[in-house]
Amino acid sequence: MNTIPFGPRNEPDSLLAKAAELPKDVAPARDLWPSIAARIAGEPQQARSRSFGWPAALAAGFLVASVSALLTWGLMRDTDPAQPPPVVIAERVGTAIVPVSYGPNSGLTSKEIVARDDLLARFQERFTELKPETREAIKKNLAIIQAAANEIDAALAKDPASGMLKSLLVGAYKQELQLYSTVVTSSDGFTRRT
Amino acid sequence: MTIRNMVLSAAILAATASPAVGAETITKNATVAPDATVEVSNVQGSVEVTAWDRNEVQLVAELESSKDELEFEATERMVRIEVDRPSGKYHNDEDDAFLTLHVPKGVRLIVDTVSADVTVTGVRGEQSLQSVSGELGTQAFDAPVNATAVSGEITIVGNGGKAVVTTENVSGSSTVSGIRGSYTGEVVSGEIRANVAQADRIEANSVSGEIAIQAELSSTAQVEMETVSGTIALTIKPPVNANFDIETFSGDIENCFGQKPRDTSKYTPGSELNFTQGSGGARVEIQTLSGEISICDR
Repeated sequence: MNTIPFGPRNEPDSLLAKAAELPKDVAPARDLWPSIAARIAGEPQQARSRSFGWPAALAAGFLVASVSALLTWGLMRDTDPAQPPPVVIAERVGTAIVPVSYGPNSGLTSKEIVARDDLLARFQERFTELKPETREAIKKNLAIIQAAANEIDAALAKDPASGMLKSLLVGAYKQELQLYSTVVTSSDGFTRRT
Repeated sequence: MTIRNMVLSAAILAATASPAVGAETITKNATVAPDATVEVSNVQGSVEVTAWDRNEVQLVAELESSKDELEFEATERMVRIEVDRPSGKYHNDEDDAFLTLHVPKGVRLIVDTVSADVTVTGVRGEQSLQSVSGELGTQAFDAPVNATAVSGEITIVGNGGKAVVTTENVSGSSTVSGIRGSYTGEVVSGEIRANVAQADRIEANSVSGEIAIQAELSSTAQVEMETVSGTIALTIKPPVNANFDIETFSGDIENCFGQKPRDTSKYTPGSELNFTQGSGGARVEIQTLSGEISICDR
């Protein structure tokens, strides 16, 4: 299919399906994290390029896709109950924006949180320049995603094996990343000039 | 045209494009291939794109702010238009930039804005429209259409063509009508209202928002919908021949086909509903944590 390769949410969906097909008791063939980290590290330079196209949009879309795939694999794999994966609860990052905090039952690892926070840092650069009502809408919706994450976490405490709950958690996490990505890529034109 | 010549042409045209000085109107033209890519970036104001029968891109830019600069770069295969504004200066109410374009109907169109509204008419190539708070409105024909917004409204009107349509929104609403084949919609707290004929694939999800989809399902259609705490209403045009798998953790299921949901566990409040309506074939999967799900054929 000849689609434009920047629909950042299309890619995660296909990756989601692929991730669900992964064997549940083996490690992935390669660690996705180094390529994600490399992309993150390279993005500021790409965003300032004056070349045709929109590398920042592609990079941000790739980031959302990669992080979502990483998260999906992590959540959908079977875990040894005796050795649960390390869980990191995201904290406030010292600005007016409060990123979503995922609870102890989410299964999110430090890698997923770090990846999210790198995108968040770029988002915050743009956030302060948005219209006040837009900023308010974003804050309100982050709070809604937070409430959803809390609700899912509480449900996972009761039913930790639920595939439905894990799928909903992936969805909430993707929505948070997508929000940041949309603001960053929509502002791409400004970064070209600075 | 060689790549070097294309780059050279772009450089020359970019160099000759006059930056805006004060409030002014600028007109630019470029001859392009009928399926060229047209990329537009604006901050606030509007972007209006209308397809015509000429192999030519015409831009009329009205810039209210003397601080704005207009970039116009063109090759046969690509046109790039951007309103540049100094960082931190892009939400003054008096500083709109209005971009009015005419483009060949087959172009591949990419538009990014912060608060500028985007209106597209008659473009039959692929479209990617994105805005933070601007409203997005376009028509869908047979090529993919992807519209993304944070708080802006999205409206897509199909002409019955088999476009793959995707909308992504946070708090705004997405309204999609007259499309055929495939639709994907995502929203946090906003609304999704879609009408899909001869649907092969429908995906929709929300966090707390409302999803209302009316669909005519093909015999092999795949429908996947989920919400954390919102509502999902799926209305399927009769005759309905589908397998349904519906699951909730603590929400409600309303089914006008008659079958009743059953508890999934005596320890949790969840329920599920699995049944085949008619001869089956299409597959419908819906799930929610605490939201409400309703399925019906009217």
